Amino acid sequence: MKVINGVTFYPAAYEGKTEAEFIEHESHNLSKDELKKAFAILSPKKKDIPMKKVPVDTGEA
Amino acid sequence: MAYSLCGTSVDNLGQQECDKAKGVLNRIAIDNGVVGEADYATPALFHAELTEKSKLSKSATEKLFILPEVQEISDASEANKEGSLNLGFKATLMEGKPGYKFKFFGGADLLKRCKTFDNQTVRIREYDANGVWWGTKVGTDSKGYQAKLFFTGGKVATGQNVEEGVIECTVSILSTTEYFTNSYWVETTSAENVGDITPLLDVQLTYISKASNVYKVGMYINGSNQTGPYNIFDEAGSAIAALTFTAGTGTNYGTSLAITSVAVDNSLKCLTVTFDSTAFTALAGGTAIKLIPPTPATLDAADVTETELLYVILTK
Repeated sequence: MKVINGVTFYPAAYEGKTEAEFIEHESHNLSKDELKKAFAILSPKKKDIPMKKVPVDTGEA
Repeated sequence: MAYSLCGTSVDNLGQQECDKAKGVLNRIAIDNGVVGEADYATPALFHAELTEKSKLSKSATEKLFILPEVQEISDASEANKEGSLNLGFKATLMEGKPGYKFKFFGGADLLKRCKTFDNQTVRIREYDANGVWWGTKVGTDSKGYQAKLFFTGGKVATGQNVEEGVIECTVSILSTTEYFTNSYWVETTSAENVGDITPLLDVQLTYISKASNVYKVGMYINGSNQTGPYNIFDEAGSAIAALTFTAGTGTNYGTSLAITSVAVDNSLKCLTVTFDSTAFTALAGGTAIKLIPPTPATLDAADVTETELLYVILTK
């Protein structure tokens, strides 16, 4: 549970939900912008980790 | 040579220095639960246990209810039953049951709450002016004395005496064995403040309105004010909204209904409780939903003290 802008959000609000679903469900509590920011805190996007180039030993001299 | 059976049923009559005797009554606590051996091992542990019990919900088996400080006390014990023979012999046949009346200050609402205990058989612990708790022992457990209580008050003051806001409690002890023969004490030190043991106020969660899965729920002390109950929102709304509520439906409300958010409504001065719309939609119309608030102990930890929130049954 997290309290954001005076609203206590329970896991059921954001777990397994898209941002659009979250905003629609909680639109009576906060503005769209506030809910977008809230969702970013409650369900942060996983950052893509860039692949490191690892040299491959082909056995060539 | 005298043959005697006295030794099989009597005790020696020496006494320890500084043995305790009951002092002037300071207050009583209604406690139908127990304090186990581990919890009366030291005065600090005993005090902590009573403090914790005072913060339980009123429906808890181990709940302790403490009354305000005594302002006046008088003995109301039944006289011993005596018998005599016509050549002058007189003896006490049976001990009268102990009892007393005491007065404390309280308003109209407290009187109403006290009278919910009228003529109930309860157990009471006595706390005297020397800082000593008195009760009885059952096995290894510390318990209060069995008693019936009766509360009076609420009469107009006549101006002849201190009467305004005075509630009188009559205590009738059920068992002379518990009270006299099997009485045990736990002393407290200056580190244990009896003021830590507090009574709670009932704050009723109340349905205000709903829009689909979004409910407006108020928090009121019903009291005795004809104009309306007391709304605790301004003092405690934000703190309470940040704590955990749960909800259930079905038999014994054992089927969980997910809550997605709880917020404060500063206009209506109430809480906005939102249920998961998918789960809510799946419920049949008219389904009863029990909204369960945080416990008194949880409220106390969040600095919402001396408060018990009572659940509300909502309807879809």
